[in-house]
Amino acid sequence: MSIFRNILTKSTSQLKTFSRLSTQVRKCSNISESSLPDKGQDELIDFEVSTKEMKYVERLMPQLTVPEVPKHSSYPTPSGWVPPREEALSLPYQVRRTKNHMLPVYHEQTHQNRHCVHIRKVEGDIWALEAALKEHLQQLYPEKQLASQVHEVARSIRIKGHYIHDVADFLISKGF
Amino acid sequence: MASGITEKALKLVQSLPRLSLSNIKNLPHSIKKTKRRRRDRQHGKTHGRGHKGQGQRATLPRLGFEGNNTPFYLQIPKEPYYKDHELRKEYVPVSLLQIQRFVDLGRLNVKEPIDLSSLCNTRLIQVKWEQKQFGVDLLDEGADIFCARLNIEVQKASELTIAAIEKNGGVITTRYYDPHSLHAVVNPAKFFAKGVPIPRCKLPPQNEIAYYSDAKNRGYLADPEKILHARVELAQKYGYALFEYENEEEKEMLLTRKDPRQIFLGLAPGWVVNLKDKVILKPKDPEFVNYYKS
Repeated sequence: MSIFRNILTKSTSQLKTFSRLSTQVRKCSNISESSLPDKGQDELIDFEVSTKEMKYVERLMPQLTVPEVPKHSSYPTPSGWVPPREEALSLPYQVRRTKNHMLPVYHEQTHQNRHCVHIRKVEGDIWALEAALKEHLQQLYPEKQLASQVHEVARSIRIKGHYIHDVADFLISKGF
Repeated sequence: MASGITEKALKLVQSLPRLSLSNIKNLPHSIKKTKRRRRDRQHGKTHGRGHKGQGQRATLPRLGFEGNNTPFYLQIPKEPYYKDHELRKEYVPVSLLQIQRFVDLGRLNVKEPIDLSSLCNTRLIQVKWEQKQFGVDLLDEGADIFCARLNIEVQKASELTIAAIEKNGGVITTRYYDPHSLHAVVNPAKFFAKGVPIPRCKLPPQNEIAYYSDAKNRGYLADPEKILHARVELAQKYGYALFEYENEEEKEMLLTRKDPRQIFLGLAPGWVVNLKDKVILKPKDPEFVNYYKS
């Protein structure tokens, strides 16, 4: 809302935009001022006012809030997006979607070879989710050692390794 | 403008006083002092050359010489950090997968032409002109899953990207925005709030004009007939049939294109948008009109 207020108050006056620079006539001490032509004001250019094309201006204005996702006939959508299911809320833990309707699962990389999966916005029993994730990943990769971190205050889990897609598939299968 | 100057000149001639020797002077540097021989006591004897040595005997070495050790100007190696920096352009990468996702999530309206303004209005893509970014480069990641029919205008696109869009019946145009116009295009709301006339977009620089005049890149300066040929060629190369449009409205939307000088669809350069009163001011002066139309 504050953006709209700024837009409305910042508009400059109409008259200033279409004007030429005022002519600077050099005044000489020999002449009296009354003989000089009175040209103090700026020259104004003729303009016309129109409202026909305002629809194009309105089209160029951004949406201030993230729109609701339109209903699709089948999921996943062509880009691979899947909506969250209501059954997931009955589980002991929940992973909320971000404001852009995406899963809050991120790949973090430091020191060129340190890869982590970062799961944010975890609600409920975070330790149960961590245990479930580790069990799932261990089944997929039996010979790998899994290191993980639970940050209760930040409501996030970090798992060391290249498991972002596996984690995302697991969460989608749960309905988050 | 010519009549204005004449009138002003005549008024000046009428109002200024009579010309006389007391109120005229030469233009600066029009009279040069003649160089005189240096024969007086001040400039005589050594004639400004000092005493003995190479200085007096006119045998000084070249400028920069430091007595045969490697001079300063050769010691320091060259590091062309900023060589051709003005020619280096950045384009923000946006993939077809991202565009498809935006369409799926309702962030982009497929029923209207999509240009850089629409992409930046989603706030999911930022184009910063101060970092020498000139627009968006549409990448072909997701060309296999892309199925949206849209009229899109970007700055760069590869052959596969163009094929993916045209296969689904869409239209793609590549177009150049100069940094001043880009500043307006990237944030139209902020630009309209300034109350400044819409700028006239400049043509691309020398090294980019070839790209935007080529039909294969669907450049906005290319010959429309050649673009039609290029569409057929690309369809044959990638093995898909050219789309047959049934809906007239949709066809009209897909064929809408901006003028090379136009930066906002439906709005001409030179107009001022008054957001507060919700009106558009258009100049009527023929001088202004001709400038903005050219």
